[in-house]
Amino acid sequence: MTGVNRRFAASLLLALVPLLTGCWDRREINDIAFVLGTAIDRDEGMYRTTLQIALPGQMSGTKGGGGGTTGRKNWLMVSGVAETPKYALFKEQQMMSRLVDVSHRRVFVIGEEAAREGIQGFLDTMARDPDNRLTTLMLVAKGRADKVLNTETTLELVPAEAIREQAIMSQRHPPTLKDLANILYDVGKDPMLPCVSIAEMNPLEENNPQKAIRLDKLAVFRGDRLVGIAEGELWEGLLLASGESKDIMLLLPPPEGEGKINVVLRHYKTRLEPQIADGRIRMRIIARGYGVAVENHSNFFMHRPQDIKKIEQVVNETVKERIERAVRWLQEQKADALGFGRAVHTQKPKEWHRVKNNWREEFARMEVEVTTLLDVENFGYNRAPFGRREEELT
Amino acid sequence: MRDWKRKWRHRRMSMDEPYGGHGRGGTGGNGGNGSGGKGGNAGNGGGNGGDGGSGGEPLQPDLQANLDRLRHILQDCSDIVYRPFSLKGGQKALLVYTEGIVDAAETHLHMLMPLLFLMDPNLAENGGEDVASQGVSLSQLERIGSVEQAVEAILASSVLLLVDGYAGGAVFNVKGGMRRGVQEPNSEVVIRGPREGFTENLRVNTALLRFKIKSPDLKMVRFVKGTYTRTDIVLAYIDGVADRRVVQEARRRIEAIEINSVLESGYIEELIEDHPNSPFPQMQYTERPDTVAGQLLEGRFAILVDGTPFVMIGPITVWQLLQASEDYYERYYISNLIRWLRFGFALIALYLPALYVAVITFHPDMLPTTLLLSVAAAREAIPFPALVEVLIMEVSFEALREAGIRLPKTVGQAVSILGALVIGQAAVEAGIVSAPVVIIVSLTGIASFTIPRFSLAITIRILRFVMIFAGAAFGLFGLVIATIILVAHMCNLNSFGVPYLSGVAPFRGRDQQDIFIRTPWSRMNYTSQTYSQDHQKRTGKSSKQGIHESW
Repeated sequence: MTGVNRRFAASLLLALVPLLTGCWDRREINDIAFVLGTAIDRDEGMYRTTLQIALPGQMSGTKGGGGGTTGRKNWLMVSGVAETPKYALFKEQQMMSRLVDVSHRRVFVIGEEAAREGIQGFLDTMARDPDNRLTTLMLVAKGRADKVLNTETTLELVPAEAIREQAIMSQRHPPTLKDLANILYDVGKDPMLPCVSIAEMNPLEENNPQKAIRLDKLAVFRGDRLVGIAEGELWEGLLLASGESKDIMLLLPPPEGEGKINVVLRHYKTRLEPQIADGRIRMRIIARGYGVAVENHSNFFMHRPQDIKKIEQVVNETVKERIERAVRWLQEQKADALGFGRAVHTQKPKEWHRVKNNWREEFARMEVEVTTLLDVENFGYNRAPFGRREEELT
Repeated sequence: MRDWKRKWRHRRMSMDEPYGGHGRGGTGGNGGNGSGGKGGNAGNGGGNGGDGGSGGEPLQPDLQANLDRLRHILQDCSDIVYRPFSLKGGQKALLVYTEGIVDAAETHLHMLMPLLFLMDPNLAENGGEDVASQGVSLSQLERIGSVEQAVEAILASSVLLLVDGYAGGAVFNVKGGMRRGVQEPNSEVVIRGPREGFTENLRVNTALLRFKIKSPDLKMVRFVKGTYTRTDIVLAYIDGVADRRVVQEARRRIEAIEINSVLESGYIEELIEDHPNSPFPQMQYTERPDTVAGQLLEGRFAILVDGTPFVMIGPITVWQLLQASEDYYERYYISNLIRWLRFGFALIALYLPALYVAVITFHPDMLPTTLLLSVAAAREAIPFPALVEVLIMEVSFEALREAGIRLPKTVGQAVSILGALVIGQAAVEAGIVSAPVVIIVSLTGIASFTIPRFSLAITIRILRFVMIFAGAAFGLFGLVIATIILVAHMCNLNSFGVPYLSGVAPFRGRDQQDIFIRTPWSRMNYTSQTYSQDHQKRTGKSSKQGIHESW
């Protein structure tokens, strides 16, 4: 062989080397089962992991629209019970013809019971495997998580997607797996996750009521254990105190007269200011934001500047009261969901080193002062309640 | 006979050198194909100076002997016309030319008629030497001394005049015959800009350049290549703007060519480019005189080849291949936006199918969930792996394109409709390929048409398949590695000594005015740093004294 021929042959052989690998980790998407949501529950001392797997063939594309109430479901629920969540998943894999892929998991729903026993155990499963995405949203379900995850939501193709959208709508920064890990590793803050439950949506069909997923609660943890679920005004108070609220609506009594007024808070945010007084740490929560009156269901006639001031006063008082109640509740639970400890740590580091070993007790005893600096900007197009003459009003 | 031919060929091979400036005479003026034979002396160079006498078989004083010799050499060439006649003074004379490539009317009017009827009979008495210069009213006169030169001249559209008793001949270039006129170039259409295009006629082409650049610094050096085709080649450049070393190198390379035929500028391109084995074009070709003029003014040279409307430009960088002549004619906002669009779509043309294959088979986690689900839904029933699917569509698209080019225009349209709509739609409906792949292949196809230079578009077409295989074998890692190799290769390339990525690597500050952005003309103050040897000023202060000031 001449030199050129030899070189040619050598380069040809080299070029063939890549083919030997045979695309070893190539996986067609037809062979992958995409997990969109996971629910985890306790089942007689063991873990029950339930996967919600997308059925793309039922969804869209060339086959025409799926979903709705008539067709088959767009998703598949696969459930397995084992001593560890990962082993439960392994058992589920044995029932499936496609490889489970968790890289597109949108939500991770933790059952109430499982959450009360501590979430650390199965967070390890998620954090160890690099296939998991850290932006998976973490939620708690009131009751069993798999039932909530299997609730058909007509608006979205898959319940997991609906839960994710609802979580994003409900607060500014719904915690992801990454946030949760940060909080758990950090001292001076406890997790607070949005909490979903099943609700009835459509009362018209009495025999077969339309189910829906409702997100109107917050689950508060002490360390990795669930200690309480806040609902109603407590939920509002927690959102307001943490500054996580997103266009939250407050139902208020009118300054004068009877009925109710609805105010939406916009550009709302809070700041934590730890202060030292007499050798003790006090916490000051400063809330700022704008309110807009969106409904006047009372006979209060608001059109003068001083009327707006009156509403402003009611808004400020209500917000202050809700926040105070929520904080008191947290102190009772000894759950620092608002991150007071973190605020002390960053703003008064010296004090923090003094109290950090006994932080929970310190937190429970802490004096909290709430300052609200809320402005009411406008009340819409109508000054008087729509359709009522001025004489009827106060 | 055979003996003679061998000798003939041998001589031609040894003649491959430029004529300009040589006192050799020979065929120097033959190719002075002044537009339609009526043009001026352009290209004659110093050809007129020599008076025959060079090597080869000399012409005899005996007319009959010369005629026999010519008839012998041009045996069986039925297109040669011999016209023996008597001058007005009575001497025997002979006109020889090739029918069809000579303007016969001119020949009759300005040669045959004066020589037969109007000539001063005494002219012929000095051995016939003055007959050509004083008896014929044509401008492109040249003296020859050998039979070889005579034959060459006859075949290169000159008329040979032989006078009995004079050992030598005169040739007049009366190029004529039918050739395509100046038309709008088909391969490079512009919305704004000149509509004329080069033709197959070299002298028309040089004239088109001369119309645009009326400067004595525009040089057009002539070469003749091809032992059979004797093709005229012109190297054009602007003295003082172009880098002399580059021009010198181009000249050396053209002179060194040995080939028996040159039918298109591509022959020359392959013989003189720096890296014939690289997929990247190292010279640009164009049909547009304004493009060539623009490039010449930026310090590049052009190579014009007789018989083709495609003029080559060198040295080039890859950036230039992504620029269209319209970039300089339109206002700079739109020029810049369109240039960026082109850059983006060039990347799409190169990477999109490969990216799709890589992401779908290796990294489905890279896609947004909803997008992934719709792709997965479309792929649910497809029997092939993504690679095969993409290859099926890409290869059939390439075939479609090839078919579209070769077919007559009217049929071509039918084919594209058939191919695009029927096959694409039917394949999706039959579940053989998925809809996303059809979208990707069509988008890639559109993207490859946004590249203004077809030669680069071809390169990207080739490399696209390399990328697809790299992506299918190793996913995004494969794509990255293939890209690194590609960029390394491009850095390694050069065109006549100019780095292929010049302006960016190596970085040239002054060139940034015309790579990623086309600066307004008022700010494009100097010529390119890469091509031009001196800091040449392009624009001065513009006088924009506003008329509104007087309002």
